[in-house]
Amino acid sequence: MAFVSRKKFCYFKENAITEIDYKDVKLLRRFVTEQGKIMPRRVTGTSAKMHRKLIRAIKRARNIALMPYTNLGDG
Amino acid sequence: MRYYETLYILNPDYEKERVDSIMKDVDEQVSKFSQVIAHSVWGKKRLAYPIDKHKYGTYVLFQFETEDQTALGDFDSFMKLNNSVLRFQNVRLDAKPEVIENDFLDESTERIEQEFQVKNMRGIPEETPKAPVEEKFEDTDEASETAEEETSV
Repeated sequence: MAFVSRKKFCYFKENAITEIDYKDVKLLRRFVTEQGKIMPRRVTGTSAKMHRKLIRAIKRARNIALMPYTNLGDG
Repeated sequence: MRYYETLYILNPDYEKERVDSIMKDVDEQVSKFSQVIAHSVWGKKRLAYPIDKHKYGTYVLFQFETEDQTALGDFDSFMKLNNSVLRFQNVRLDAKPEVIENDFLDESTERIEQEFQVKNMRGIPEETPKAPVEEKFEDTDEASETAEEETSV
């Protein structure tokens, strides 16, 4: 029963990113599932502060059709 | 002074002159009450989901600064009533934007442009037609079995 634990870290803190732009789809893609859902903090390890900003950015990107609301069906 | 940024999507069928004239209209509308910082075409992009049956859209990024917040409502209704704008989003910025972020100008824009034109000319349906329903019924038993196995693990 070998359980490999790995330390979670906040991607934004690690890379010293303080603001998240909704136009930066390449970055935002890392934080959504294949279906287009926003991944929970317990999975990504993002800090609470940055997660709030991340959510806002993803929702903005969805509104302007840069990201999908869902990838199921024909959207 | 507050800084704002509007990203709007135009009909992809419009040629360059028409896009330019729309941008000019928007410029005129906004310059009544504010200072325009930047206004540039981001390029033609594939939409994440269809808007008014359009699969592509021409994105235009527009940044300005103003103190008159009541005029923003007028700008919103102007954009809403503009039929050539498929969608727009006005966002307040925390700081003065750096002039034109070039890294956002996609290199893939040219490729998408070609893709778009080819599809428009030939009228090829984007997705492959779905398999007839009868065929699907034959496979469903097997498919559901494997699906159950996967979920139970």
